[in-house]
Amino acid sequence: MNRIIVNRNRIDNYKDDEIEINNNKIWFYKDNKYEFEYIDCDDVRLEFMIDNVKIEILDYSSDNYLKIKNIYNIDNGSLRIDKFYNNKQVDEEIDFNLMQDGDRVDYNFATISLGEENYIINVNHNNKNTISNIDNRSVALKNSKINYTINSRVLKDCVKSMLDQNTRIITLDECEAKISPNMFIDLDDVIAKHGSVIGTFKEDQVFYLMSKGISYNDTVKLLIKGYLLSKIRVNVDIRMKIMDIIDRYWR
Amino acid sequence: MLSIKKLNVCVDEKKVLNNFDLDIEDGSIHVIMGPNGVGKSTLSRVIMGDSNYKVVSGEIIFNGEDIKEMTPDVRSKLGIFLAMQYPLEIDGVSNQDFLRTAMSSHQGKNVGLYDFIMGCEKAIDELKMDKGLVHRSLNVGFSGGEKKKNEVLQIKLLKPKFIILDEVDSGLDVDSLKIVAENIKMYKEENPEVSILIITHLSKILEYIKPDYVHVVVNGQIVDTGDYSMALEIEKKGYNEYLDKSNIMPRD
Repeated sequence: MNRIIVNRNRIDNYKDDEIEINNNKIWFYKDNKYEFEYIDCDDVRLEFMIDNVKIEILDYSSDNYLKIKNIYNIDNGSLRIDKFYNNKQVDEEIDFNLMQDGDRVDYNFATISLGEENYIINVNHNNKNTISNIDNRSVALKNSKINYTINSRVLKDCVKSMLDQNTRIITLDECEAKISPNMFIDLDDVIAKHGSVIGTFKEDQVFYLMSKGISYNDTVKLLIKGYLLSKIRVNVDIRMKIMDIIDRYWR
Repeated sequence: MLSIKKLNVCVDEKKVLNNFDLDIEDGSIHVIMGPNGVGKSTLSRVIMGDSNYKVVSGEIIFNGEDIKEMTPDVRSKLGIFLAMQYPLEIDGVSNQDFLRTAMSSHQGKNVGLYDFIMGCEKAIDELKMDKGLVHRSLNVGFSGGEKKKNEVLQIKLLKPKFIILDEVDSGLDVDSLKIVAENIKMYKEENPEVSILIITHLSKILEYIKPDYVHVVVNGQIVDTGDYSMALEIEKKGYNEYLDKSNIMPRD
């Protein structure tokens, strides 16, 4: 996997036959997987051009005061993003623009939230048969404030499009959590699903695990690990980092 | 030894166990029988420490310790095991992670992957389980038989002293019931001091695991005690005789 560092809001310009980066704008020329790590970023603006390729991106950021405005233009291609955050503060807006017939985005996000975190996700279905699957999973810790706004828009004539939004926030302490799932659909020939849940783990799950000798702390740790890692696909290195973070909070 | 004395338990202000008394000696096999809704499964969850059940009064003594105030994990580590009627499905938590964490907790040390695999392999073969089940999310997509076998796998790995089998025979086909029952029997033969409490409303499993005592529960208390022959009698005649005495109707 190719690793790209976004350091102090910038990516170094680069060009080869697979990727071109110029002034924080990225063109992909071949199917590939990339890992993006955000370091010391407080105002990032990236634009991704996914033309005629299938791209998988793994995003990771920890301990940042993160402000992001990313745009993903998918033009006759597909994009999968797997992403994990554990930041001090986040203000993020991302746009997915599905331009051609059959374009697709799969977005899988997991976070352990500490401070104030605002996420706006805009998905624009601009052609027929386009597919978007948006999955957000957060664990909100003490005094955190987390706010999701997900806007899926399907233009008129974009028939047979499929859109799915799932957002779940696990609240373990006193914290504020809000989810606004919006679907703006201008036709009836689409398949649209959404689910939004704010709450804690089910009592019967906690009882089941504890009844097998697992302490409350380890039970919560097992459930959090399963909840956060079951959807996102990460490499061994990132998985170890996430496990270290989980161990830090639920020792 | 488990000793329950004058136990009164409520759920949502409704009394579900009523001055309940039961003594289970080390090495003995007891059966609790009764129609649906009379408090059989309640008893298992109260012994295990489910906080949804409020113990109003009475004692639950296990090997000399009153366990009433103990959390379920502490009770488990004392050697109590509950094989649930409906083992929970927990998406994302791998069966392997769950089993290793439980084993580590019981052994008081981190159980490494090699030791876990070595411990697991024989038990999985004996239970005729698909090896892939260990790597799947806990009970997710398991058949009824696979879920019950997974509970028995936990018995083999955690090595409890007192086992509660809550309707372990429900949802099992004939072949799976035989495998599950024979494995429990094998564990009991290898560990003769282990005691077992079987909760059931059918006597099929008792053909494999012969009980020392059979108790009939109605209206939250034991109304009759006998031996294996009583279970066979109930199989023929049903519970009407006991219900008539208690002036209550079965729930379904």
